[in-house]
Amino acid sequence: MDKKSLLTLFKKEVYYNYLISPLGYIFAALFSVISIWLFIQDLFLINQASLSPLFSLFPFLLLFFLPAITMNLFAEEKKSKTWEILLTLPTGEKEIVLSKFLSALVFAIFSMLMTIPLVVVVGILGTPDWGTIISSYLGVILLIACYISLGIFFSSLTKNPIVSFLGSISFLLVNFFLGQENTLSRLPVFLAKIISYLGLTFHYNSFTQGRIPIYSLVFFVSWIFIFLWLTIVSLKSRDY
Amino acid sequence: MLQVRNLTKKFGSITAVNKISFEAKVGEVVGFLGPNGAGKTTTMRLVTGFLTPNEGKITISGLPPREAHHLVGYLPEDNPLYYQFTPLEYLRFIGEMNRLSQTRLEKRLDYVIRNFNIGQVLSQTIETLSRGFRQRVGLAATLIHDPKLVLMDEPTNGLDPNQQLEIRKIIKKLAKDKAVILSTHFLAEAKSVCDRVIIIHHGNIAAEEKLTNLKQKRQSLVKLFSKLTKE
Repeated sequence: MDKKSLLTLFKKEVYYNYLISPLGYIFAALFSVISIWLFIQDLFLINQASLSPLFSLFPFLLLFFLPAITMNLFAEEKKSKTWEILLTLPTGEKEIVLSKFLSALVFAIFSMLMTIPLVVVVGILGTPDWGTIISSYLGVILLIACYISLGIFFSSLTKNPIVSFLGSISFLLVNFFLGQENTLSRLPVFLAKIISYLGLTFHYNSFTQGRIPIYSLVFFVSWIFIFLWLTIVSLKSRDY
Repeated sequence: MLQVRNLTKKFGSITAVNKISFEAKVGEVVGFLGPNGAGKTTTMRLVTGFLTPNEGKITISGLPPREAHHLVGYLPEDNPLYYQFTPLEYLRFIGEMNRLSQTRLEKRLDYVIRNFNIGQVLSQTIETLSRGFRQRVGLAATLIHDPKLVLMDEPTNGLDPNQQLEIRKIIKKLAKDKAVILSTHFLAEAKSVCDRVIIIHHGNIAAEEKLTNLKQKRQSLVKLFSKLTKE
């Protein structure tokens, strides 16, 4: 791994895709407005100083938001043929994929920080379980990393950002519904167990309940690794 | 500088490049001529390491293409650029990726900005530039790291006659201390800038001639081209 070119690529990705592009600002603003609005609605409805309603929203909310920021990452490079420049610079596919992944991750985490005022509000209004809040944020970060790695993979498959966007959403929606109780209850118990384990929400829910199971950490890390590896394979398949 | 031996590239059942061999030395401009779809772009993509050959060997100063990126400057077909960057941001990015030290990068920036006359558009985004300026920015980025081998895929395509002349002058100047390969289907361009031409047809080398030899033989490049590439 060439750290110097990874850093240069990372800086370029952050600057080009999120700082000088309006997409980054629109994403961050829209995401925080929707999160805060949904949280405030729930806060008065359940009359409890808890962030759990907010955390339970994230898997579904991010499922639409994150593919919107990953859809362009490779599709646009392919469409405008700049990937020919990128892939003939003195660097490798690994560095290119990782720089796109890390920049999107840092940007999404930064957008997530916009929900910190809500933590402050909850802290003032009541006595929340800080351990659960920290594990929930860790869960959100891992969930974001999984969504982004999948989004980048779909972006590497096509020249069309819309195809990449819809592909990622469809895949994540299927994964999301697989983890829902009403889907699982219709299946035989042993099958329901296996399928729920494959759903990201199942692992994420452990984190929002204040637990950090090793098997969930392994699942998240494996998911990220597999999709980043598939993206590298997809880039290398330009030869065929 | 560049040695290509028995290069073959297949896409599925289609053979895009079929066992071609050629060389390029520092100080010469080699022109790839051929009709559309002849295999010129594929050959360039193989030499730059963007594609991997099915058979054959490419060495650039003794190195395989993927280890020689720092020695190569490549201007792909249609001059793709990051349009939201300004020329200065773009050139810095390419320079940093080619591991130029800060002092060297500043020197090279100064050199390419002066030579390509892009000083007045440095702070505009590339998308707002005219085609001619974009081409100059593309060429400046190709040369920012002072590569020893320069590959240009149809570098004057879509430019007006004045801009074409200007780019040709630059190419001629470049060849003093570099090996230059350019692909074109403008035969007049090949005649005015190339020392040697390689005519590619259906992925094969149909002819390889020095332009001085053609002159001596009183043979016309146009006639040779149409004879060899007629369907």
